Amino acid sequence: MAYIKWGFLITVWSVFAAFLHYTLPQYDVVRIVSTYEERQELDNWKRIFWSTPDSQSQAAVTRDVQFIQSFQANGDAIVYRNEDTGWHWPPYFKFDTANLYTEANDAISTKDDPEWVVVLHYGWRSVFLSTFPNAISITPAAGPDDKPVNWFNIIFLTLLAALFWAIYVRWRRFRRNRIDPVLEEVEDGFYAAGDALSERRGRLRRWLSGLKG
Amino acid sequence: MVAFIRLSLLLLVGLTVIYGGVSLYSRERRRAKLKQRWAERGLTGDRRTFIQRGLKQYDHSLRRRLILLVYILPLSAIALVIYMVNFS
Repeated sequence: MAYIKWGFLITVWSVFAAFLHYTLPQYDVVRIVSTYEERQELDNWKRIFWSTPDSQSQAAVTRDVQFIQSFQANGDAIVYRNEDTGWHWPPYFKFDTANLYTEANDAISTKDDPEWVVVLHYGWRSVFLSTFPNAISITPAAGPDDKPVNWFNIIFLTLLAALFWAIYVRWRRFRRNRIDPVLEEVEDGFYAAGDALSERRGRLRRWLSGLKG
Repeated sequence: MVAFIRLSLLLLVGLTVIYGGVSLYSRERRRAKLKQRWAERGLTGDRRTFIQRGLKQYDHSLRRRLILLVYILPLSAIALVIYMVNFS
């Protein structure tokens, strides 16, 4: 039973952590090398890794998606998609996809004369599932070693932890004051019933042995 | 447009549920505190009137109005995000 309980808890919290890791913003310091558009077939479950288009094209199964190709300072390639999130989840309220595409094209630089930019993004790059993080904004970086502090995540996760703690403490207090006494009462009732039963059985046995003897 | 309306409705319903819950919780806490104060000070007289008066004071208090932040904070956060993502 303890294994099931822990397995369940670990699964739930892992899924929640993965969800946060996917949704919360992250910074990359990159050098943009190119941009391209590609037609995407979005007709299977992997749809969840792409944005929901505006209402006119919601029925369309295929559509053009913009991509931003770049290199990180350590030499790893990273490709972003560039899509509106609009009023949909996740709540980035990004409407300026075309502007961002222009900024990305403006920031294209060569290996010899690199221009480092900070790309704010959310999402995962998976080569197996062909998923791409969605770029939110592009700002100039101080250099390839620039490490922007993710203040939003620090504040958000602290507040979230505080919220969970507050709920947990209140739930424990509620259980101690309202549920545990009731359970104990029920338990006491069981014990009392058990004692009465065994006493009666003892009397019965004595009576039986008395008959025999 | 459909997405905007859907988000607005979700926010309206969700925030109203939170607002209602926080309001009830806060008022019940105030009531419990008033009862406790009554017992601690050993006050005499009409306990009901004492509690009713305390709750009426609470209804006009700043603390109750602060619960409106349940609406104000998320909506201003959304406005701020829209500005930061699209216009700066």
